[in-house]
Amino acid sequence: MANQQIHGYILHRRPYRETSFLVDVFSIELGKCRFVAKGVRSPKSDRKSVLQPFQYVQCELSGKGEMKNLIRAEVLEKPHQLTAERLFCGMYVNELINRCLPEHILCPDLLTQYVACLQQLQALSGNTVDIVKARQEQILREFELALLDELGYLPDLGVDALSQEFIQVDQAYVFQPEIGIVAAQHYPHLRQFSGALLTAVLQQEWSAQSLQLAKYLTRFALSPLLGNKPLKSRELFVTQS
Amino acid sequence: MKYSPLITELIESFKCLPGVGAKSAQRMAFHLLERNRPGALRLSNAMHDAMEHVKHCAQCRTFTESELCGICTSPARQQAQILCVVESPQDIIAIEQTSEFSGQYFVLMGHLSPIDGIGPSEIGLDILAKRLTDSTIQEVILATNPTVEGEATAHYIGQMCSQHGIKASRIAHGVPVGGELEYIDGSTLSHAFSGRREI
Repeated sequence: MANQQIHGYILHRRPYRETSFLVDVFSIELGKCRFVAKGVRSPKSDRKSVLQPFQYVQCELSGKGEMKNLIRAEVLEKPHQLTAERLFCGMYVNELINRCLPEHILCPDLLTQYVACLQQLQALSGNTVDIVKARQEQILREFELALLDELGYLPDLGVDALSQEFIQVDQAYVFQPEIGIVAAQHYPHLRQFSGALLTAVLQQEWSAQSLQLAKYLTRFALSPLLGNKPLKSRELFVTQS
Repeated sequence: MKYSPLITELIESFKCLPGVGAKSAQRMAFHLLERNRPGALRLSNAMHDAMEHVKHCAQCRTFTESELCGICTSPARQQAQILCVVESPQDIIAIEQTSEFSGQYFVLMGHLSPIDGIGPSEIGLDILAKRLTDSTIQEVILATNPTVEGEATAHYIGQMCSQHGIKASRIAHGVPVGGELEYIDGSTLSHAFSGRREI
């Protein structure tokens, strides 16, 4: 069987046996997949810097089974240099993909969004703290919405799921995870928000309020995917508030 | 062929060592039985004692059998008021061999890696925060590994230091001494360029 060539971004690597790594990659050809990189942790290996998170690589894999072996890896472009808090954002995004996205499902749109997300995060350096903080939120929310959309967990933000009517800007709505967006009177105990704000989230017109609502919606929608184990990278942001 | 219970147990026990599989375990067991019984008894005693008594230093988290390790109890090192943060006890040995550093250490026993479920509390950053508050440390040197996780860890601790008004610095990374530029990977070389300094 011919070896397989894949192109993608390294999400994570973890030590495996004595000198190997188990590497998770988000690739064009295979979606999210995992392979074994043998001998990379040995002192002589020069591939350590290649298999770093956020690095875009071309890999040659061999093997018939589910777990492939890495034959060769090459860096295709300069790695995304995420610094300071942007690095935590990148780790958060990687953890999201690692936890939520099933293996071997091709999702080119999400990959494009992922690359855009990394590029936008990288472009933030040099701005003032307030701008960076606000933009980071936007970038993360946009990625979360894209991820939920890809996985089919994002409710239709433009339509009332019960009445099938378009969202009215002057009406109040709630988010019921099993049903979707519904008029507030059906579920008075849930958090209410206006149709205008919901439309802003749908069209990704970001303000402090629409970001807050997007955060609420994505957290709620992501929770069935994450189960009872919370995302660990959220802890990294705690001291910064 | 089946060995007697004691030999089987011995072979099985050797397999817990890194890099030792069934064949090597068997070789080690028979070597000790045939040729070096006193050495084996010494090994078993040393192992037993170490496993029973070695714990983490209360101050820097490195391995020691006393409450505080030798470096933490040294008065000269306390006076230096510099703290070096490393990922593992082996890193301390590497730094000590250079004789470059005369302050104290703090061992994280890992690095921040959210995907593996390792957050700030798992690497003892709560203990470090307490130490930054209580003691008179002037500078923290962040000697975590030059990996993405190591950088994240360094940045996180850097932020803790700035909250406490303590100077934090990151070790430089670049071209190894005696190396040739031609054979150095791109990432290392770009780090070396971005971290260049005037002469």
